[in-house]
Amino acid sequence: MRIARFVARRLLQLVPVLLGVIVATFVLVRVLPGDPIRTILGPNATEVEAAAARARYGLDQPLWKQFLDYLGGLLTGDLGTSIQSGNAVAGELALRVGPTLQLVVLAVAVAVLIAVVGGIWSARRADRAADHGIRVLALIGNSVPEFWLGLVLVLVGYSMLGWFPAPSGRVDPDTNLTPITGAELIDAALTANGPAFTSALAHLALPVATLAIVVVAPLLRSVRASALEVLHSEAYTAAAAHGLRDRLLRRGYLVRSALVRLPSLAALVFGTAVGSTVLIEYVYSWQGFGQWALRGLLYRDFPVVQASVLLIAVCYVLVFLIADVVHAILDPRVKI
Amino acid sequence: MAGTSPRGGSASPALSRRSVLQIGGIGAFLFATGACASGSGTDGSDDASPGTAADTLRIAVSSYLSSWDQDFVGFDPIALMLYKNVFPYMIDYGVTEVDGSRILDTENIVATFAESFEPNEDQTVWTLKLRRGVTFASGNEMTAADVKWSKDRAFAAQANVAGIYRTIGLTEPDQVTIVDDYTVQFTQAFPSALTRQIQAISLYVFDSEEAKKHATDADPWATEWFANNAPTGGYFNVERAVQGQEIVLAANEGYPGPDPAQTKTIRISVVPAAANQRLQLEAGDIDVALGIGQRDIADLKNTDGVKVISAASNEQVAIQMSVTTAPFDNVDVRKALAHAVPYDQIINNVYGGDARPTKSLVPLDMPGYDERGYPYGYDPDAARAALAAAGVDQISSELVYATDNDTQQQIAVLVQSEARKVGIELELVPLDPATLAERRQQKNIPLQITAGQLWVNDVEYMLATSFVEGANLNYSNYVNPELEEIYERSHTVVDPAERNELWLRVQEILAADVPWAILCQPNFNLPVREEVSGWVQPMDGLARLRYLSASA
Amino acid sequence: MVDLRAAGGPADSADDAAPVVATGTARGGRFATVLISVGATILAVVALAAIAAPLLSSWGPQEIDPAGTLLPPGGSHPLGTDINGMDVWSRLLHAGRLDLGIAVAAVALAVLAGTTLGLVAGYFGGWIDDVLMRLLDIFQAFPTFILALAVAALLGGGTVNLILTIALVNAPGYARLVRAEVRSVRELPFIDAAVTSGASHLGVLWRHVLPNSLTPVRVIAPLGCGWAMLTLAGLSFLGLGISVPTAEWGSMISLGSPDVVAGRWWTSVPPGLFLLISVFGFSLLGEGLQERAEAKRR
Repeated sequence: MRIARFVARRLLQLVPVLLGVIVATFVLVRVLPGDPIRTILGPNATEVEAAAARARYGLDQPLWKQFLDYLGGLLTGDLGTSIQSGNAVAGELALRVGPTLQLVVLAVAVAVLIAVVGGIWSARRADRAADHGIRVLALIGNSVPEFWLGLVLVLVGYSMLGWFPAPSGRVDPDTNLTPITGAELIDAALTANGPAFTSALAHLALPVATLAIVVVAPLLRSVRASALEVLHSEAYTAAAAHGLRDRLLRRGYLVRSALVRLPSLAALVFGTAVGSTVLIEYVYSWQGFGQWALRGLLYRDFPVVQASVLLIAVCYVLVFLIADVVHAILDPRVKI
Repeated sequence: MAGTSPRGGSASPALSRRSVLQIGGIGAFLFATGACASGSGTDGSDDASPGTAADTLRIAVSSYLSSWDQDFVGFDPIALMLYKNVFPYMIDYGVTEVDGSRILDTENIVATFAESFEPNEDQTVWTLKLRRGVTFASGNEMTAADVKWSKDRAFAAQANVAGIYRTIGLTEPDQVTIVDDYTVQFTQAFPSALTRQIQAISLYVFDSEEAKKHATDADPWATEWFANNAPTGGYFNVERAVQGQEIVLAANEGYPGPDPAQTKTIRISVVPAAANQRLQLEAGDIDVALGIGQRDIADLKNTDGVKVISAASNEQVAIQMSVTTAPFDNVDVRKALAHAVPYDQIINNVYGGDARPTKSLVPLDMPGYDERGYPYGYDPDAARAALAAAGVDQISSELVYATDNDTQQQIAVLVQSEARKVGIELELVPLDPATLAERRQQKNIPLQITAGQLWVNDVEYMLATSFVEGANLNYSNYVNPELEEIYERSHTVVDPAERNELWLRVQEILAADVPWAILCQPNFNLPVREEVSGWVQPMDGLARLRYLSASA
Repeated sequence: MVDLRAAGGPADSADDAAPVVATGTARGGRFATVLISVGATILAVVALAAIAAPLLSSWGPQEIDPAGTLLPPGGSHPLGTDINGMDVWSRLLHAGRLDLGIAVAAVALAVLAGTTLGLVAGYFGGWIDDVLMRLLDIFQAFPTFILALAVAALLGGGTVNLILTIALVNAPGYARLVRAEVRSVRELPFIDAAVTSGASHLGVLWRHVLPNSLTPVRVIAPLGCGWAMLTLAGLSFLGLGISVPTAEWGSMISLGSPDVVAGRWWTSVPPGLFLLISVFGFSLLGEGLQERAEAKRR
């Protein structure tokens, strides 16, 4: 199948890139100033203790050996041991990916929804006040610093209005949710735990809103632009002139074509969203992947930084691949 | 009429009025659930009927602990506080009352899990007697074998406990011997006045039988098991500990000693941002906030439903000057800085007046404190004179502090501003934990702000940790031969009056050499809900949760 | 903020793509002008205020008022004082110099570096192009803020280092854009003619290829400036950027964020607003330029 070959070709192209990422991260994290071993030993440690700790984490080996060990570990799924906690990095990662993905996916989905609705609505009223208004609003949202927005939303939504729960934790512990994937919504759905589901939704509301507001502008512009292109195309004008019903026009012509470039842009936005989660997770005490990665960076926890960077790169690259494939499927002009 | 289904597999939503209503409906649903959920969140602690003690106490901390293994953990204050409450400690401090508030009494060590801990005639052999019938959660009885295994483990880890054992003359595992099933002996190389306090820190016990089930050849001390699994048998048992959610502690009904836990359940939630802790405290979502910064304390004192427990503390805030790094290798330059620091302004602006000025590098409440220990005050003229005595007009250097520490940042700004006026130009350098640790290791930090409290209330311990050559907290790289000699002598001097004489000499030496600019001793402030009572001020900064209770 | 460069991501899908083309009407052209003028005006006002800062404020940006910290607006402090006792209004204005300055300098540097790389890769093609593109792929396999975090941790804080960090992280995008343009311009007949008539490669690059390839860069650069400001603020918020006591909007927000909860809005809300307004100015400018460029393409 042509698509399968397309995907396979793209995947092969990605391998050298990912290899480059692995090497770059390995080197970068060891070049950073700061000694991770000293941070875990505390002030009472002697040189002997430091050497023992270094040996425990394999940091006394020559660099090339460390790298080979790391690569070998990657192939077997062993991402190393966190210097800060002594736990397997893979385990810590698995715990935290769920909550963050949940946040990012929901936020991007909400943003896409608003972008599609708003973009097409805006395009159909092109160049009138409503159109300009929506575009300016989206631009404002795009210009806001997300950490500041998070603070303001907490102030308004929790402190002043009391509509949303306190920004700590992702679900009310009274609901006794069994953690399976780490993503509370999915876990609650899987275990049919109603109160946990609503509690998780309530905790998600503000962080999702923060992230969605920030990323909606470029998505909206893309949808609007594609929609405008279609609206002014000959095919559409002909169809409208023939008297096709409005709803058919929209569904049949407008929406599908307008969504053509959206996947690529959604992928780009996804990358930005991942970066923003570091800031947003801090404001909302999300205890997710972003906070864990940042803490790893601040403490120079080599395996944690390597694993988180690798994961981000892999996700980012995969998302682009999926976007390309979806784009190729949706847009008959693209040759596979 | 043509069919209305779109061709192909478009996944987009219809854009009719119906869909707008649907979206609106989802939005309304979200708000409704938000209102419900926030409602259910806030009435957790108000449920009990008036007049009875609440069953549950909710505490907020600023980070999740990094590991449950006390022997192999890094420096993690949250973890250390939790360990104090969930590990069975054989002995602990008693409680005494000072000026109406209760504090841990360093002069009075009581046996808690153990039955007794007494020395022999010359105080070199200490005997620990255990109680019978005390068990871990697994059902295994707490015996001498557990104590021995635990301390062997501590020696093998070559970490905190092994370090402080050296100060009381315990360096080899075979100095710890089992006499019988309920008796263990510690044979020190020399008698020490610090033994009780050191052992209060070190005598925590693992369930060795349980541990042996999880030990492997590669991991004989079961480090992997203990990193992830909480210990049992302490004042509290860990009922539940889930990353990112909460840690739930349940009072250990089998605790045999005095002062058992006053509250049945303690729920500890992780809230990294101090602002969020404050919000939750004000709303009543939590009862105790361990991690609120200075700037919120002043506001919280005036908030309804919240009270701030305030107590004198032995925490010292200082600027340590490196005596081996220019320009502070010159004692006159150090004196200049000591005169340039705006002590009163720091106490008023940074701590809102809630700190005690101090006149010695020895903490205020430590036996032997003397005002002659630090004869320097804010005096810009004296500062300029000292610089002139050093033969310079203008010097520049850097002032290092911890990057996300609010109070240190404020202190740094004030010191920079005043030092500039006398000719000392300081560049402010905030460092993240890893870089700070590395530079401390390299001993190339000219000026750094430090804050901390000593766990043993004795000048000998202070010298051991901070002023003798190569001491771990000796960031100023200070060495003084007379001080070393006094330190050696103090190991074997047990009489308090004699020791105080030694300490006076120590303070005279430190006043002349001025390796630190000692800023103040900030009071301990803990914001809690009005209903919370029973707080006992810990001199090691580790909260003893078993004294806390909340009336509903 | 989303980095609104048209190209991005490691796959080649967007390599030869120009910015999204949209159609519009004559009214669209006027809207573009409105956007550009409003955006430019906002930026001019902010820049002017920053430059004239010492004239507009009675306190120095790092001057500590002994009367107290966290004073509410009033008296000689139009926006009160922050946690260190420094005047917020003065710091707000002076911060504009640093924020605007670093953002513009960083983008300028990124454009310079990126354009050079893109020119070389696009014009000469072959293995140079392959190697450079692979390197850029690796760079762009990271979301930009994450990359900025890592580089900032490596280089440290301070004005120069931050300019370098942000420039480094932004350059690949411009490189790709320019490369795409150069590849299409390269095929044009008059380039061929210039080469055959004896012009040197450098001459051709400079006189013919470059001017024609910079159009998308001119359009994207303002948005890049906005993104640079937000990145700077984000880094400072996390403690990796500009640090106390230098006045900078991001670090002011970071210092002031615990106060919001107490109802003390003046330490963190104004810098956030100024940041928002400045970035908005850049966004309007960029949006207007894009609108106009698209109108021209029709």
